[in-house]
Amino acid sequence: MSNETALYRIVIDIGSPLPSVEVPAGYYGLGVFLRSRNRPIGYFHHRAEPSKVFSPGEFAELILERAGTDIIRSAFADQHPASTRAMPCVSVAICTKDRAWSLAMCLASLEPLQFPDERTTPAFEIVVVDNAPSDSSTKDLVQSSRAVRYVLESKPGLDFARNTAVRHATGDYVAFLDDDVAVDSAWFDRLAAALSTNPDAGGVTGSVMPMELTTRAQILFEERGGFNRGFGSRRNHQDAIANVSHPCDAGMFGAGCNMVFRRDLLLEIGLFDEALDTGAPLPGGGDLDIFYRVLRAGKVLVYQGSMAVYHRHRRDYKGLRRQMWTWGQGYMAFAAKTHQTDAANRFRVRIAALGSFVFFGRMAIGSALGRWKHEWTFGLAAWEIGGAIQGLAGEYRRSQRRINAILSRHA
Amino acid sequence: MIATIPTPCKIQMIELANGVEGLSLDDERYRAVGLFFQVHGVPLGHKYLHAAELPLSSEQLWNVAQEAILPAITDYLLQWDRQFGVSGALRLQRLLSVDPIEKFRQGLVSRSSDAAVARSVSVVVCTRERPQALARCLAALRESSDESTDLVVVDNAPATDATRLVVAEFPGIRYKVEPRPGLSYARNTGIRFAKGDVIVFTDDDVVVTPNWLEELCRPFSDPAVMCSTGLVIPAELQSREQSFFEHWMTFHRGYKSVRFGREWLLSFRSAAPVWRIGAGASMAIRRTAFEKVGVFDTRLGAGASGCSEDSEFWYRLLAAGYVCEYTPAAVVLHHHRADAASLAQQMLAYSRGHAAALLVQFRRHRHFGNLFRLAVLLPAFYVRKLTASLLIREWRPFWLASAIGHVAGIFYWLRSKQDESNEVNEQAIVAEFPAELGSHSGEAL
Repeated sequence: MSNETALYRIVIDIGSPLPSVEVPAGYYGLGVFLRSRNRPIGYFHHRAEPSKVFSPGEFAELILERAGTDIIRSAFADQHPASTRAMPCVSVAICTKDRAWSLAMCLASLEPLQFPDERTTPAFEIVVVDNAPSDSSTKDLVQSSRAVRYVLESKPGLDFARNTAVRHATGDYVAFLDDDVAVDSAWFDRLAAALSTNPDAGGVTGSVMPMELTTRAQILFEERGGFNRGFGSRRNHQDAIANVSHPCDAGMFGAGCNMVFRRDLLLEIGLFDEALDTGAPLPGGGDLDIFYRVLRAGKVLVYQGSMAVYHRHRRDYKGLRRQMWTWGQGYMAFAAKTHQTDAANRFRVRIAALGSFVFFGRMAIGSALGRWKHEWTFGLAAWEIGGAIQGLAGEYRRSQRRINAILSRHA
Repeated sequence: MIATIPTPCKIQMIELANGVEGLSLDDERYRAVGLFFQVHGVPLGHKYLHAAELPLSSEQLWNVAQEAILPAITDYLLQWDRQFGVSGALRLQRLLSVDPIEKFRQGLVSRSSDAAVARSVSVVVCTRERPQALARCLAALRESSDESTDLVVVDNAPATDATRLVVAEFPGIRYKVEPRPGLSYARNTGIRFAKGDVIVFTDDDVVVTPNWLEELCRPFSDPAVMCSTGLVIPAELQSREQSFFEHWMTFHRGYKSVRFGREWLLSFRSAAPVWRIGAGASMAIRRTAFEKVGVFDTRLGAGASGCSEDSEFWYRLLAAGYVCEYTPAAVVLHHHRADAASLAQQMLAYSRGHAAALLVQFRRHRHFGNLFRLAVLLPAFYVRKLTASLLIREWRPFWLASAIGHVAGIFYWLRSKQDESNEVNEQAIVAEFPAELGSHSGEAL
């Protein structure tokens, strides 16, 4: 994998005078992260030659052109400061498996938020769920950290771990983070803001930005749309004037590596579906399923764009291809499950699944002809379709059988 | 694919200049609400909400409003700022230092100062046997115009004197009968009868907003602009048919001001989408434009082929090198057809008129894109819609009517082509403007 696409990651506080910006040697453009009053407000890519220099004026023009609406949104936010609010009672749950080095980074990003301004009582609780570990590295790491609880879940599967986290959490809200993300410094503040504006929220999801933009695979992933759903704030509801397939197009609502739910709501709707997000055979779909069920319970699912985490995308093309397979597969497994369990929405599920195949197909043809946006390749589109077909072809039922086997082994 | 809006849907205008209060639905009958947001009277965005999404607190409603107006208000603010020629860094700083709403107000104020002095304006309303709608329309029109505005009602092929009696209730509004049925005949008579340099057209099923006339005439401060059009939003969405119309046939052309010229017209391989310029229910045209490119084609329009007399006229204007400007600040509310029979009739009339207009445009300008749209794109579109109608039963009559109308439009044109008297009529009307009847009209016709 050549490095000819690496983007230089630059963080700009638009409140202070702009610097002149140079694309360093070895980089082929900029990944610009805009902040204002210490919160993320925008993000865009800009391709440029190595050692190209932007004067402050040119750079401002670029920002206005590429992120004009984000700038105005930020100006609005400055003028309409949110009311003061009580801090919500939150448990942060991180489910991890044999990735202590990655978990360490995640915990390090949380620590200043947990103990702001030299506080000695933590602002929120952290629960690390160690999922069927093969050694004690995670346990050792957690025990050396301040104010982090360690819970062992020996049944392998992300949703087993998430459900264990819910049972052990003591907060009113449980925030789920993956072990390969780092939270933004305003993450907790923006969560509190979302809950204060939307006290009726059943859940909150946030934006997911790239931690690094060093390889072609990482940039391709971002330009495919990545996880980014903008920096605005929205209230999602099962009844909306939206797509015909709403709310079965559950990928629109957020991503599993940055999501928060009311704890009592999760218990009420029967927790995460353990047959999804099981690891290797079916590693996706659990987040889509929980978003969908929260909405179907009649609750509001808030998207708060400024509540950001940074995710380390797969560096290699093979990993990206695998990710695409997983997405197609997870989405269709969720669709198959919903089709089976939610009779009232069968028509919408079918439309949503059909719509995805039309979209995937257009992407595959478009990329084969070299006409699709950016440099998306036919291979990646084909893998997503392959995953989707496998997901539809009884994968959910097979996964249920595997889960039952695990349960009986651990009984 | 977006689902159609559930009905009945309440339409509500919300002014954001003074902040917002919470929102709830007082009437349980409504299944949705359409919020149209404006700042200092200028519309900037809208959002349809399902009844289940309400109530909203003031903060929640503000978030909805902010996301809805962001694209348009950003466009306005960046555009105004660009005119001053200051550096990017300074512009960015300025945008961040002031409340966007306040900055928008300042922009509006500075814009008003460079507006041209009032010119003589005539408003022409063509109507046919809809006295109640006309009375509503004229009352609103009175609010929007001042004493000096010349208001004209053209009664098209009246069967009763109901229209005349309504107009008599509004002293000062002039009344004229056009016995030949057809909107183009009526509009052309209106042009002859009107006194103003700028002739504004609206329909009897429209309710204008208070500063509509002022905003619609504002683009004429630029001498290149020959025609301006405005934003048309639904006055009500009470029935499924109205919702269907708003979804598929909407007159809504967005919240950003757009200039259309010859380059735009010629930039399409298929027929230029001239209908995107606006709607005949809210347009203002300089009198000189009619001298230069002729009047409305009497083969087109309601009562004749069905519609498109307005867009075909814009086509001629653009082809001759003039400019049309869409200015969303001028708002009218349109009452869509409320029942299935009249909607089906209208869909048929629309596609018939559109097909005929494509042929007229092709014949006049030899732009082959019009034929391509007529023979390839539209048939493919109707096949898709008819296929979808197999699944969605309630669409069936309307798309079927459209498809039939398409074929009917082609036959309509073939028949009207033989009847050359139409074109003769048109020239006769043009001949009533002795000034400048030279090469322009000859070339255009």
